[in-house]
Amino acid sequence: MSLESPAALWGLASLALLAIFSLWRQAAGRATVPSLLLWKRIPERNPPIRALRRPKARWELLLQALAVAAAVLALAGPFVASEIPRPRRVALVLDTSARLRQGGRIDRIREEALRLYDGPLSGDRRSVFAAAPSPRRLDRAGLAALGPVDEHVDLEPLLAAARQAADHVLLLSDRAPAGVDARLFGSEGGNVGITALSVGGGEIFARIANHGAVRDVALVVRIDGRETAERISLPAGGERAWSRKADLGGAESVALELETGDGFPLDDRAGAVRLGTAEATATVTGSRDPDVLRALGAVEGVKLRSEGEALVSVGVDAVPGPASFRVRIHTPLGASPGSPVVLRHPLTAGLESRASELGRVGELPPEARGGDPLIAVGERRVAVLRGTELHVCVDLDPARGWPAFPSFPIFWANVVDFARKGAGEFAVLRTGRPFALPPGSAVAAASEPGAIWSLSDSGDFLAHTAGDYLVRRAGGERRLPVGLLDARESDTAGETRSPGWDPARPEGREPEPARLGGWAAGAALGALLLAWLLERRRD
Amino acid sequence: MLFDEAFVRKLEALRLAVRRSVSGRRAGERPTRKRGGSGDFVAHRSYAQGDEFRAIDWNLYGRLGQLYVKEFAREEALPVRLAVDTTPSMAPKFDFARRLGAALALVASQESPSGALAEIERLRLGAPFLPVAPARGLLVVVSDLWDESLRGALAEGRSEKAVIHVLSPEELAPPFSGKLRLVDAETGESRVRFVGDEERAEYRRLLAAHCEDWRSWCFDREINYLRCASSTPLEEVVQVYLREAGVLE
Repeated sequence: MSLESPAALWGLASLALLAIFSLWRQAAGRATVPSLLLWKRIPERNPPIRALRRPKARWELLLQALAVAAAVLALAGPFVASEIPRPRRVALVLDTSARLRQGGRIDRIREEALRLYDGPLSGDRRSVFAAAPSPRRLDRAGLAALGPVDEHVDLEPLLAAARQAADHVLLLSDRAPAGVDARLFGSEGGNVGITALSVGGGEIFARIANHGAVRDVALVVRIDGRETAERISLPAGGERAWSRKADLGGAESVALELETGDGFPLDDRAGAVRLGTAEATATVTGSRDPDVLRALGAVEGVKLRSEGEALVSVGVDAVPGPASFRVRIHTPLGASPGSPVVLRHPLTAGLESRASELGRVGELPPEARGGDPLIAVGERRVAVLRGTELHVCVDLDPARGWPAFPSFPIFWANVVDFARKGAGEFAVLRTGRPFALPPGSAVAAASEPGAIWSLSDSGDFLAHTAGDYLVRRAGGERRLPVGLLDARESDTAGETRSPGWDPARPEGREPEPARLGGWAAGAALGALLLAWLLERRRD
Repeated sequence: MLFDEAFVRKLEALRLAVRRSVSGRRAGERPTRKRGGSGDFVAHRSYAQGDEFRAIDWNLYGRLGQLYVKEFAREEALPVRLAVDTTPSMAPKFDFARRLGAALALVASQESPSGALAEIERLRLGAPFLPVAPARGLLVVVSDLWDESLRGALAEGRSEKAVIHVLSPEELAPPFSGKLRLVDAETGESRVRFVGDEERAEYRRLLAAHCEDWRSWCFDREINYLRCASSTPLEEVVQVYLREAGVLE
């Protein structure tokens, strides 16, 4: 055994202090006398120095001396030399971004990680971090089963976790942030891919990136399966916007596909789909009030149906049918005194100054009062919007003033427009981006095996792999395409580089001496505790 | 058995000494002022109604023509009460005190068998200790006399009394020294103090004064007083010291 700081042994001199101190504070011995009668009469005096007793070999004193000696030893830093190499703390961070699918690099990264794990790092404390799909720490089995995800992986959280867990962090990717030691697996460049897509307002808009030389590519556009193609020219190393006007009034889906012939087809396709119905259809449940039917029918483009899924469904004192937007009209039980106030909202556009023409209104029933108020009488809520449901408490009886509301068709025109903008828009889903599904719909399954997706607590759908997913909703199932549209993944080139740090070299694995300071400190504490207990017991 | 055969025989040769005549309920060997019984002739007196006819001295009647009855000295047993201190302060010398008490009970039982010996044998340290002097007879108290209230009990009654002051060697010469917590065996009261040669010498002086105070107090009240160390052989105490002190004869 050796000492890191032998000078600390001078602290053993404190044992002499302990002896002096114990002399000074000798505990009074106990003597039972038949009576204190005579002893009380004897005057007390301070004991002379020569009368101090020699410290007895008491256990307390022995333990105290032991505690002091152990504490001094702990300060001296005792250690025993060892020949066993010290394990290093090494973390491997694996990038599983979608672009690494190109050229099978993700498999090479996994194989390299396994080689390091089982080989040069086998004597070290290894940690493996990857985001497949979310940032996590992997064990050996998890590493062996690691696969790619079709999204961009943010490396910063992984690197931060790895830096906390290890002294050496090695990134396996195709590019590395500054200051990070990495084994990089580059690939051929020149990828062409779709990086953005939006559909709406009678237009299809896309951004197409080209990481290679100037070239022409064929772009296939499919609207509800009807296919057209055109050739577009792409500038070198840049991005171009592409758009096309189209009649999308009745269309349910739009898809774009590039014919690039590159080794990374994942970003060559993108799609958009309507989750609601495209047609401006309406249904009425409950009392089929002729004025309501007439007003709805007066809105341009609205087709009235008797049943089935619709864009708008109105329930007059009844639950509305399945629809992207539902309006429930409650007949008031009594008139609310006061003048109604119409608040500004797309649903009340053009009605703000005509509140006095609303006719007889009342307060909504308690179960329907939650949501954003649209019309109120004092504190009472007459109309509220809750998600995709509108509740209105207004009397439709003509004898009580309903026909006196001349702007009623304007209100229904607002409702239809609002429903179209909400559920009727085209949705473009990207991997790694949460998407709020319409109320009443849920993802049933992925159309391809091995797909990775999840639902958040709030019901948002998040796909980690590209492909088609089936969404179940009131009107039936609908195919929901999810494509890779992250611009950062379209550049597949990266670079090839070996790490600056060679895990096979022995640096950092110097044998570590077995330090005994902790044990000595523990012994000191234990002895001190025992001494204290003994002293308490004796008292 | 507290004593061996030889010691018992020596005890049988002894008896408790009293200065005054005694009076008790039982007939015994002690002369009393009472007349009657079958003891030695004391005097004649005139016959009175109720006297026993057999007490009439017919010879005197023949000579004097008057009825006289003979009076004899009545011998009665000595009422003896033995009180052995059982308070906690007696702990180091209780065995000695109990054996001493038993020896005295054995001596007393020769005159008048009683349960005193059995009572002494049953005594346990910590039992209540309340010496009460008999109306007449002898009270023997064996104690360390640390309880000053004993003076009151000893001062009461007209009976003869004897006090045997027993002290242990540790009381006579405290063996301890240094910084000590002295604990009163009787009260549990404690006091931390230093005890050195000076303190021990002062203690011995005060103890001697304490014993002398008891001795003179007993002397003033015609109480036999004997001080002895519990380390003294019991036979020596009984055969020598108690006889010298006039407790035994």
